[in-house]
Amino acid sequence: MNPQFLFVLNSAIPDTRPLIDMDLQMFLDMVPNLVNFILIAVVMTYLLYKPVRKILQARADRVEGEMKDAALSKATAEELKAQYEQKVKEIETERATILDEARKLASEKRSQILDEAKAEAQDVKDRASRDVAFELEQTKGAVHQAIIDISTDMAAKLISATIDKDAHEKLFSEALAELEATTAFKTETVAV
Amino acid sequence: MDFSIVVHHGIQITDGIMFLITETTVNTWIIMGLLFLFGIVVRVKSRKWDFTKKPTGLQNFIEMCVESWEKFFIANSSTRVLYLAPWFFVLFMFLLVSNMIGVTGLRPPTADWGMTFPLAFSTFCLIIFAGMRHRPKKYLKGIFLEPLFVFAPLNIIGELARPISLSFRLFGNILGGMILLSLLYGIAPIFVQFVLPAPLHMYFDLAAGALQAVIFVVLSLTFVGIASED
Amino acid sequence: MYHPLAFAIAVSHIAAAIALLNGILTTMGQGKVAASAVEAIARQPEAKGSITTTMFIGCGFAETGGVYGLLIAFLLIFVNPLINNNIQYLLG
Repeated sequence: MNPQFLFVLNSAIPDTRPLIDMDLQMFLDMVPNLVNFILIAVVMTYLLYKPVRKILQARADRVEGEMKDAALSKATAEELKAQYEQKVKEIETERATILDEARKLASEKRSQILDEAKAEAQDVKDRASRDVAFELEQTKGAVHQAIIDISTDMAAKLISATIDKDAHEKLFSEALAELEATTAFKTETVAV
Repeated sequence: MDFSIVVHHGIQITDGIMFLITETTVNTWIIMGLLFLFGIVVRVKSRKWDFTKKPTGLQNFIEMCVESWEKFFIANSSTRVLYLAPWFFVLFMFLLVSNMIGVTGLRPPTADWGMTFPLAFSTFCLIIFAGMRHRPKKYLKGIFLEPLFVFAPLNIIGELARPISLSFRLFGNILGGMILLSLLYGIAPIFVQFVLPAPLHMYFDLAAGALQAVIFVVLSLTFVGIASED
Repeated sequence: MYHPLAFAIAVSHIAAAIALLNGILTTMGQGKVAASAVEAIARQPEAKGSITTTMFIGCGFAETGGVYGLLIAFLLIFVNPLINNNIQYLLG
């Protein structure tokens, strides 16, 4: 066994120190260890922890700033979108009104054109019927003239042939034939 | 077999009072060098890092660590004491490295009560600091007047037991692993010392070390969070 | 009469053995933790990751008492407070 207390009594500096010794020397031996550890803690904080913390903080700040920017631009985009949608709606209603107006105008014009066309057709029809009536009158007049002529001829012939009964008879039949012919013409024209 | 801590150098101050440079201190300096090297690499590389681009490699790893650490911190403590996150981050890193340094054959600094008690004591100071800063009246009332003023000594003893319990838990676990492995190396013949200790190292140094680091930090965070929150 | 130093060494080792007896209850507690974790995983297999993490942390907490006993045993064997006191007494 190694009696360590002998060193403490006899020689100034011992070779070994006991594991646990509850005296002043033990607590004095702790001082360099404590100083060492405080030195390690302080130096390592400034060498290792602070720069890394700074980088992490900078990154966190940047991410936060970018998030803020993104939120801002999103808000602007949404506003723009709302404006655009409003505009689209307005354009839609405008288009609808324009179309309605155009349709109304077109239908008015259509009815107008139709009316005009109807009137024109009526005109044409009227003119045609007037022409027909006129022709009819003319033909009537012509037939009348022809009858007058024939009757005049007949009268002249009658006057000249009063002497002869046979001749008279003959003239009468001729006139009758002629009349028949004109009646046939007349009926023909009426049919037309 | 002697598991006392080797003293490399010492200065006599007065009779029986010495300033000792122990194995623990030297191993802490080694770990400090490793951590500072890593920190300087990160610091130098971080000048070129652009936060607008996709992180790759080391940057990705470090950012993931810090980010998940803050989530862990908030889950176990409160958002009020988030300014203490770097301290506990470095504490966790230090505990992880120093518990695992046993695989290299060095003595872990945490296998010394002279190292674990200062760490637990700093947690104790932070508990008081958080309580006094964020809700001084309620904190003091919780210690001295809850549930009755008669129980004040019990509460004070409970508060004082926290750093001791924290430090002894870590110290005992790491020291137990270290002593078991040392006994194995001392007993076993030379040809057994090559492959057989590997799984034991894996358990006692890596798994138990990481677990104890997590437990130490989780308990510290919980205490600080409870002290700071209403 | 035995030599006081031999007596102190024997008592130290017996005390270390008694201190290590709390490993029984510690191991039982850890077994309970693991059994509960297995039941929880069987009930909710999708929460396996978080249950495993919580189980390891719980095992660490449950280990505390056993570790205190182990620590006391180590101190009794390797730091030898009784033996040091005894030697001091013999010399003084």
